[in-house]
Order: sequence, then C-alpha cells, then structure tokens
Amino acid sequence: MADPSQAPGITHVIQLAVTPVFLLLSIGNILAVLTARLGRVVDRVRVLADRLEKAPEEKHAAITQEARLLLRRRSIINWAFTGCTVSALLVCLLIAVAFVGYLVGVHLDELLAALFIVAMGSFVAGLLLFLREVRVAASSVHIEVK
Amino acid sequence: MADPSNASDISHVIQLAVAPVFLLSSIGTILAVLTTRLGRVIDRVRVLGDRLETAPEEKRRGIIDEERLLLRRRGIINWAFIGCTVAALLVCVLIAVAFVGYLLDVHLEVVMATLFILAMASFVAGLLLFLREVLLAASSVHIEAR
Repeated sequence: MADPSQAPGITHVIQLAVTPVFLLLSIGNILAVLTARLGRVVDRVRVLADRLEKAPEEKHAAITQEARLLLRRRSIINWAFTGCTVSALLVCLLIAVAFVGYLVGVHLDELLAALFIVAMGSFVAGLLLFLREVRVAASSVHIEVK
Repeated sequence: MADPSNASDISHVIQLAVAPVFLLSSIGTILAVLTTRLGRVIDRVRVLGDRLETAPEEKRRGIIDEERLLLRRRGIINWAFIGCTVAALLVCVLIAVAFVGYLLDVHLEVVMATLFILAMASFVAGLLLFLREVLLAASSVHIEAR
C-alpha cells in the first residue's frame, strides 16, 4: 500500500487481497452449511405443525417439545448467520481499505490488522454458535428414538 | 511482525495467513459433506419411524436394527462435526493471533505453531470419525438389501 506513483504497487495490493478473498470463500462455505441446516429445521417445524393438527391429544406434548427445540436451534443458527455475515462484511471492508490506502497513499496497516482481528472474532463467535447448535441437535436424539 | 512503520510487514503477515485461510475453506468443504450425510441419515430415520408404526410384528426387528445403526451413525457424524468446527475455530484464533502479534509487535510464533498443531489434531479427529462413519455406512448395506 505504498506510493501510488510506483507502478508495481497495485499488483502488490492485489496479491495481498488474495488472503481476505479466500477468507470470504471460507465464510461462504460455512454459511452454506448453516443454510442447509436451517432449511431442514424449518421444514421439520412445518411438518410438525401439520402433524399437530391431526395428532391425538396424548401426542401433542411430544410434538410441541420437539418443535420448541427446533425453534431454539433456529434462533441459534440465525445468530451464527449474523456472526459469519458480519465477519464477511468486515473482510470486504478490509479489502476496500487496502485499496483506499493504496489510492490515497496512506499506510493503514494497523487498521487492516485490526479489521482482520475483529473479523476473526466475529467468525469465531459464529462458529461457537454453530458448535452449540450441533450440540443441541445431538442432544435431541432421545426425543425421536423411543 | 516487527516495526509497523515498515510497509512490507503487514503484507508479510497477510501472505502468511493464506495457508490457514485455505485450511478454513477445506474444513468448510468437509462440513458440507458431513451436513449432507447427516441430513440423509435423519431423513431415513424418520421414514423408518413412520414405517415402524404400520409394520407387521415380524418386520419390526429389522426396522429397529436399521434405526439403531442410523442413530449410531448420527452420533458419530455429530462428533465429527464438533472436531471439524473446533479445528475451524482454532484456525480463526490462529489468524487473529498473527495480526495481534503484528499490532503489539510481539513474536508469537510458538503460540501460532501450537494452534496449528491443535487445529490439525482436531481436524484429524474429525476426519477419523468421518472415516469410521463411512465404514459403518458401507457395512450396513446388507441390512437393506434383503
């Protein structure tokens, strides 16, 4: 991100942008996994809602309990989505900052490092929520077995 | 990770971060595979659950055996999920640590190497569980082929 008069400067910035761009790809992968899980949770909630209408009274409690667990998973996944998406936003901002620094001819190294750290913090938060959701889903086994 | 006034330093850290970022993307790919497999296992469990209600007494045994095997696979996949997600978490922390080291101008090579090793160990654990699940799934073919 140095002197704009220097021709190879932009090449250097573009090369540096490879890392955050790949980071975006990884975040996208995790978002795809979250989407798949959320889709299944929501589909299941709808099936349960239909089933609740026709179910005999004694089965209502079990269905409601499963639905409640699914709704909890849904909200955890939504928070995980938020964490990962914020992280992706920060990475985009970071890439923009790198090029702004190049154009304006300012050293924004500390800002870039800070953005990287905050983006990772947000991604970590998203992954922790994902982990929690996996645990909640795993603990629901006994409900369906019987 | 030295003197922040030196322009090439942040680029050095960013270039170093390429490897962990690629690692994140690989972990995401494995997580996507696990998600697909888990989804299929659960769909099958639900089909079997419905079938069990209407099945004649002599077929119940086979259905319950298959269901038990599927639930075991589900348990293994959930643990594989945890292994891979923890690996991704550690890689994120590793990337953050690299930039923290740059900002604070401290050498954190040992911490980074340790995080890399722990992340790989966790990923290996996840992959071993995945392998176990694949072998279990492969060995269960005869149950369905009758």
